[in-house]
Amino acid sequence: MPCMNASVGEDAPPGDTAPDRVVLDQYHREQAPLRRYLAFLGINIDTAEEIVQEAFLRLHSHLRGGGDRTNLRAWLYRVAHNLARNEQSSAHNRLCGPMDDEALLRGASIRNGYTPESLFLNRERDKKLKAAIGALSASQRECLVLRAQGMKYREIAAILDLSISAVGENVQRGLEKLKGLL
Amino acid sequence: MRQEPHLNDGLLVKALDGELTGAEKIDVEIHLADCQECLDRLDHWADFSIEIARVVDAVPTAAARHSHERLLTAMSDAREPDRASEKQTPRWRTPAWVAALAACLAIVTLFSIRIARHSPKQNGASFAIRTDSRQRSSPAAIAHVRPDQPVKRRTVLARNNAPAKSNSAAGPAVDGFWPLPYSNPALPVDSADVLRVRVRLSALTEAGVVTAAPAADDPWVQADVLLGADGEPRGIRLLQASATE
Repeated sequence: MPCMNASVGEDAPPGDTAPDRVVLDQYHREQAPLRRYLAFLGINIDTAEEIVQEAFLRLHSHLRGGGDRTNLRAWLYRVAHNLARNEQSSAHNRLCGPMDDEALLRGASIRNGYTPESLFLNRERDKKLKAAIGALSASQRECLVLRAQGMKYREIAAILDLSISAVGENVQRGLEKLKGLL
Repeated sequence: MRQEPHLNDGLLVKALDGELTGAEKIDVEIHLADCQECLDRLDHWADFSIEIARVVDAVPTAAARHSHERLLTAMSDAREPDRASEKQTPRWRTPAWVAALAACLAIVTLFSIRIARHSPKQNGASFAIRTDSRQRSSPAAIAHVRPDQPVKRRTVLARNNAPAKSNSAAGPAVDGFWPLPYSNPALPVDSADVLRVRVRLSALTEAGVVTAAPAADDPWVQADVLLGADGEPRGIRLLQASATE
């Protein structure tokens, strides 16, 4: 299971409230998972870059305005999620095609230290699994990807504006659907 | 083998995610302690979740090489408009303007006070002389020098008795007004009032205005009291003794 990251707002020192520092801390911690989440939402890399920048800038503005810091991680994902939805609803954005399998495997080998043999064995399954994730409903996919990023159900619920029970139901049905597709 | 129904997948996934309620957690732990089949299913979901996380984690994210620098620049730019607006806003000028006005008023006030103290026209004694002359020229006018500002306490006694002799211990008399011993003669008496009162002679003796020993009958005497602008008495002028009541 992925690690459970605490939000910066929770683990930052009480007196350390400089917005710039908090934003940069969040950026170093969350920008990569955020890009992955956006990729699974169907956002292309360039648009994801713009969304990530905008999301962190909004976080900066939010903090400078004295906004709530109780769960900045969920706040950040929610902003990015809404920006992605806006992009997708606009005529200027297209859903990206299937993710680059080579890049996927390259990233996996770098991140997880797999050997070429293990990569080869997992390659087909990863392809199927990635395709199966793409075949899920939007809610199921979003819930499963956020869960894979280590989020608790209450955080996912806050990001997607769902109830906690709805998140649990989406996770369960998504997993069962993935299992059936593989 | 257990005869009771096995745990459903929903409970197992929630257990895996740490999302069980207290009661659910107890039930699941009790069941898993005695059910290998459900333990295997739990392991299966755990492995499957790891696999999903691996696929998600494998998505490349190194697209933006200068993303960090872009964010720093954007944050800096976001601060600049605020600084510019702070410079343009008149809020900082208003306190300076008010402070300058206050300083000017303070200077003017200070000079006015100094001029008033050194001006003979603003002297309490000469003012008292002037008011006194007004009273003398108009015997019908009763004590109050400024009729446009009525005095609340005003005792009018016009008896033609002999003036009482008095000697003040507080200082010399100016046009009949003796400075009261506790008054501050440096204070301006502009806009002063003169009240005509009648008091017991013993009261004046106790106040130090009259040094002569009061008579046994402690007669009433008429006096003019000079009041400063602050309402405090500055001096007293004995006029005449009234009939003993």
